[in-house]
Amino acid sequence: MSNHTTDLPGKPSAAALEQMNYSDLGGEQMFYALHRAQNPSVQILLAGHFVTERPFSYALWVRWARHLASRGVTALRFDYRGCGESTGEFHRLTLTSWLEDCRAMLGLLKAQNPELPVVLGGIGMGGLLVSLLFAEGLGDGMLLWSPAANGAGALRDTLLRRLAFDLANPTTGQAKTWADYESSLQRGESIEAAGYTLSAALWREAVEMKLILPGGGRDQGADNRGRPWKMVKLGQAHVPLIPGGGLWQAVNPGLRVRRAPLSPDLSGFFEENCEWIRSKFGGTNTTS
Amino acid sequence: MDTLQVWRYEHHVMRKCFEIIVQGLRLRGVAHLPASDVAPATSGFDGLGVVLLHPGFLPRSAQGDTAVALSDALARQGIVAARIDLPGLGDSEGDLPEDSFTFIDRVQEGGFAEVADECVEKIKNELGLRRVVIGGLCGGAITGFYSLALRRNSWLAGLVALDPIFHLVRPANAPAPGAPATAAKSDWTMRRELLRNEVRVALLNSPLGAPLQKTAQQLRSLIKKPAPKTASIEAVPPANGDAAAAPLPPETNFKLVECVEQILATELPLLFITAEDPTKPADFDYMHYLLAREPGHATHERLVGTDHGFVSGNGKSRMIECVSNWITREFDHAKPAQSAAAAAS
Repeated sequence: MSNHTTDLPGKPSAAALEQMNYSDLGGEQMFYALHRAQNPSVQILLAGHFVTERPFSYALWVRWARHLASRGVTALRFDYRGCGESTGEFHRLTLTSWLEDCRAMLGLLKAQNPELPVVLGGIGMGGLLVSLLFAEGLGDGMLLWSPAANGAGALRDTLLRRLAFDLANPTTGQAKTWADYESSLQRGESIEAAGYTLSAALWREAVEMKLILPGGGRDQGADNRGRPWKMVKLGQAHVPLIPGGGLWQAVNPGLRVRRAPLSPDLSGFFEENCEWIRSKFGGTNTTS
Repeated sequence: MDTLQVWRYEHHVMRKCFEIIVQGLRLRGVAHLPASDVAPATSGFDGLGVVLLHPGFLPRSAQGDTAVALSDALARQGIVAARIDLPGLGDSEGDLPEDSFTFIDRVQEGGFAEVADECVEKIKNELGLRRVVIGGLCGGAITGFYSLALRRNSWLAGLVALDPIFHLVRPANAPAPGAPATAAKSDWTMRRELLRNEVRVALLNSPLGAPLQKTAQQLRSLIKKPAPKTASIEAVPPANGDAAAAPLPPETNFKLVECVEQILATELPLLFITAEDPTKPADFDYMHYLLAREPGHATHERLVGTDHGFVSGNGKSRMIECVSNWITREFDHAKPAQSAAAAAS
C-alpha cells in the first residue's frame, strides 16, 4: 500500500492508496489492482483490452486509474483469467469466462464501499463486456472508450497480426488468407497468434457477442432507469490506448516506436472523463 | 513477505504479489512459487531463484505473456521465479518519458543498472533465495548485464539474456554515430515507408486482401527460400578467430559490448538465446564476435523462425525449453535435462 506525498505523474497522489493482490475465482488466481481514493464518492470498475493489446496500453491504463483515485474515484483494474498476471489456460477460456471475471471484480469492488455508486468502465473488449453487464442492470453508470462492436472485432487485430507474420514469412503452398483463418476457426481448429492459442470456442462466442448500448442518445445519455452512460471514441492522440495500435509492432516495430509515444500527456483527456463521472455522481477534487 | 512455505499451494504453482521500496519508489512484482510437493524451499536447486526484469518499455508480463509462461515453467521445475517492473513501468511508481527514445537511450546506456541491482538484492532477501539468476528479454537483458558489471555479488549465479540487442536503437531517420549524414533516411523515405505499411494493413482488411496476399506469397516463394513455419533450435556455428577480428559496425552499442566482454571473462554462467527471422537481412553477428573473443562460460541457443518477442512460430515454448534445460544443466546436477523439458511443456 502506498501513501507517498508526491506529484510525480507516475506516482499515486497523496490521496491515493494502491493495493495489488490476487482473488480466487474458480480455482484460478485473478490479479487485481485497487486504487483507493481518500473519501471516495464513486467507484469505477476498469475492464481492459483483449490480451494482445494489454502490454502496449498498460502504462496509460495504470495512469488513468491513478488519476481517478487522485480525484476521489476509487478504481479497480484487473487481468482476465489466462491473461497477463492472472492464472488460467488462455486456450480454455472464452468471452463468457471474462464476462464472469468482470462480474466477480464488480462484486469485489462493491464490497469495498457498498453504499457508493459504481461506474462500469471499459476499453476495447472490456467495453463490450461491461456493456453486457450494464444491460443486465448492473452498475450505476457506464463509461466506454472505443468499445469493440462485437467480440470478433476485439480478436480481429490479433488475427491480423498473424496474417502480417505470415506475409513476412512466406511458405510455399501454405499461404493463408483472412478467409482461410476464419474458416479454420469455424471448423473447430485453433490458431496460434501473437503468443496465444485462439480456440474455435473463443471465436464462436466472439462472433455472437455484440455491444449493447442503451437508448437515450447516440454517444451518451441515460438509460430507461436513468443511469448515465457515455461512449468516447479514441483518436490518434491516444495511440497507446487504441485497440490495434499494437499491430504496428508486428508490421514494423521500428515504425511503431517512432509513431507511438510511450506515455503521452493525457491528463486533459483523463480529467475530462473524470469530470463526467463526478458531474453524474458528485465528488470533490482531492488532489493536494 | 511472509515465509514462502505458508503461501505454497500443495499441488500447483502459486503467484504472489510483492512490493519493494527502491530509491524511494514502490516497485511491484509477482513471484511464482513452486508447489510445496515439487521442491520444498527450492532445495532441489539449493535456494536458486530467477529474477526477470521487464522487457523494454513493456510491463513485466512481456508481449504474449512470455515472461509469465517462463516463470510458471521455472516454478514447475521447483525454482522460485520473480518478475519486477522497474520505475515508471507496469504497476511500479516512477516517471516515464513521453517518448520512447528517451527511455530506450536510458536502457542502452545502463541507466537502470543501479536500481535493478538494488531490486534484485531486495527480492533475494524478500524471497529468501540463496542464489539468483537474472533474466531479461531485450532491454531487460541489457539492464541485467550493466547491473552485473556494477557489482559482482557472490550470490549472483548467472544471467539469461533473451535476444539482447547490441546495436543502438535510434529514431529511424537519425544518422548512426560516425556515419555520414547522407546515409540517414530522409523524412521523405520515412513517409514512403509509412505509406507502404499503411497500404499493407489496409489491404489485409479489404476483400482484395486475400487474392493479392496469395499472389504475392506465391511470387515470393518462387524467388525466396521458404521460411520455417515454427521456430526451431538450430546449431550455433563454432566461433573462429576471424569473427573476433571483425570490425564492429558504427551503430554498435560499444559500452554494452565491452560490458558483456567483461562479464564473459568472469566465467559466470550465461545463456544467450537469439531469435532469428530468416526472411530479414542478417545483422552483424554480435554473438559470434563476442564468443570468439571470450567464450567464458556461455551457452548460445539460436531460435530460427520466430520474432524478437518469441511470440510467433511457437517461439515461446522453444525459448522456455532452452531456458529450462540450461537451468537444469547448470544448477541441478541431480536431474537429467529431460525433466526440464517436461516442466516446460
